[in-house]
Amino acid sequence: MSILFFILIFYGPVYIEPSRILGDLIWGNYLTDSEKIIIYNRRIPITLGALVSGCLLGLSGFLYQLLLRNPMGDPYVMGVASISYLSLIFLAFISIALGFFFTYMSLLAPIVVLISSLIYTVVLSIISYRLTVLQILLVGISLGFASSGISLLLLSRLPSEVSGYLYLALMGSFDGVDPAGSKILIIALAILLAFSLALSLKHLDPMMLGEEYAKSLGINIGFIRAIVSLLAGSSAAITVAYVGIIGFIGFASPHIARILFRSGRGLILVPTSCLIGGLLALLTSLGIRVAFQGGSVPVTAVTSIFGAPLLIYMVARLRGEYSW
Amino acid sequence: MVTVQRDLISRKDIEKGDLCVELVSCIAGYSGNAVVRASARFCRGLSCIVGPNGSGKTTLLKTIAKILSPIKGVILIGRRDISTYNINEFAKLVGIHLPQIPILPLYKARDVVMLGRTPFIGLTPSKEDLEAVEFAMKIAKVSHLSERYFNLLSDGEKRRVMIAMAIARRPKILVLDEPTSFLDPFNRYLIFEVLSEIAKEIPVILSTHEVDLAIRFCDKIYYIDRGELKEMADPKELGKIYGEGSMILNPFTYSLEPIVGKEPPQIHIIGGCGSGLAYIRRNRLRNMISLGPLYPNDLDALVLKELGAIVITTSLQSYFDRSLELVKSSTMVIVSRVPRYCRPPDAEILIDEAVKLGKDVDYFDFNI
Repeated sequence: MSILFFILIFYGPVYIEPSRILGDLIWGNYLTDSEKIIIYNRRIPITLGALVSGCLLGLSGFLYQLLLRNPMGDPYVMGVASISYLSLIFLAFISIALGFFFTYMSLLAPIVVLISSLIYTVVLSIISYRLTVLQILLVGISLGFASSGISLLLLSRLPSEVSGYLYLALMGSFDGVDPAGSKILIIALAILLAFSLALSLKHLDPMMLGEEYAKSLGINIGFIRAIVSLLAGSSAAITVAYVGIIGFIGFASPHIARILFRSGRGLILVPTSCLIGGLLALLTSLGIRVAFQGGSVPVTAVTSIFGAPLLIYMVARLRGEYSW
Repeated sequence: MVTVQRDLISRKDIEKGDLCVELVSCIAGYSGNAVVRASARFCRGLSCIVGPNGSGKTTLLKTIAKILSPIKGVILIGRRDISTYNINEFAKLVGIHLPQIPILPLYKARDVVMLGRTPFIGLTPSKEDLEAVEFAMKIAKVSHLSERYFNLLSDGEKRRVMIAMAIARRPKILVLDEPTSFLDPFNRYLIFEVLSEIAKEIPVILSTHEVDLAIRFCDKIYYIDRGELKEMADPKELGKIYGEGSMILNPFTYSLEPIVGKEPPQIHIIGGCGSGLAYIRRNRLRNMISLGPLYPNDLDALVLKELGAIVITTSLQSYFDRSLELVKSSTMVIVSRVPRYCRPPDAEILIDEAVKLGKDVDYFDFNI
């Protein structure tokens, strides 16, 4: 993983000798100013962004699969992506009306997306305190569909260059992560991962037994469910805000982790899903940089195209041992 | 051969508890819909709740296990209202087993039993936790499955793992909803044997459809009669609660059998030594049946009288004439080939009479 990380820092459209980058990272003053900008303001934040958002997606996917007791769980299953898109469209309408669309949009977009999707997550989590698993799932999916519907209606009323911009904004790309963004992502990951690990010591596994068993084991199921929903939703919300919608990583990482580590236990799967998510994101990032030489490609396309055969291969190798 | 070792359950593993579960004019049900009214006291021993599907056994057990809250009344454990226990305290006290089997991808059987220790576990499982898990797996006969994946076990094995999970917390009270469903006959017997051993120390409350095992093992049998929990004074009544009285308990095998003797046409059986019962079972007869003559202590006489057949025994003075009457009025006469000592000597004369009367006489060989 660290090897991948450094390859991604060393390799890019502009060639800078790895020895000089390493030297500058450790002792400083080995790079020219313009090279420093490339390394410190572009490559390192982008690589960190990929790694951390991959981790967050893996974590979110695992938590949703646990919360919903369903192998189809994925960071966007509860409609975080649709809500983010909707909030961007609203922002576009407001900023066009006020006339600052192209000046401030890129600055405001992550903040608005983050706030709206976090609010949505909090609301869902509070609701899920009193609902059954099926009800949570249906409410989340329905709200997701509803907001997509509204988005589609509103999108047709926006000028085409604006809708094109919005399409690109959420398409999923690690290239938009700036140094500040990467710091926020790292802090978010640290907090969310710490909470998830603390929960996984005792409270996550009984959730798989279902509501009644969990209750009989002394688990306050509504509360834990709300917390898990909050953790999973916030992880998804933060990645959507900074790197857009990236499919497959969140869905596949927990499955790959289960298969690789032959365990279903939360204590093992929280860190490993997270790690594998980060690894997949770095691999994707490298793949894009090598294959498309930095061209703008939706990350989802790459993750899905390369990830799907990998997952299918792993499942096939397990031969029924992995039954859900 | 696998048998339960009596000394397996040591003082240390199940502490002797004098806690009782008391239902004080309690009404159990879902969201305002009353299902069962109950006032009872379950103390040390095996208490079994029987009753047809949908009679409210599960609802009552879930209420006792604090999964549902009672609509009315209170439930006391150790003279304390269960609603005043906090969730973790209660979890340490009451072990529960539910009929549904969860889906646990890539969890090993041992992981699942360990989940039963959840109320006690700190950061990592302690020595005591591990010991309790080993004990629970040993007692539920799943030690050899401990490293297998739970999802890949058979239904019966999963059931035993789930029972081990309930035992693993060393409960002071054990509540089990249909612990023997999906199990093979031997394992059903084994589970009842294990539970009755545990019940020597603590109250064990379970629901079951295993009528024969309930009679054999349960210290008290309860049934739900039109929404009310009642204690069964005589196990013989067990037959009456199923199928609105169309089943009867066979007092010899403790199995439930359908009543014979409701609808005509009449069939007269000259049997003995259990051959009449075998014929009825094999041919699944539900018609009006009469038998005779038989010795009063013959198996056919004892069982089939219970099952609603007309039985003529030698204790009756005019037994031969009564039997002849029944032969005359019957549409068919069935005769079993059994040793002479199985029925009174004049049964042979009756058979000749039946042939003379031109009755449709059918012979059959008696083997179970």
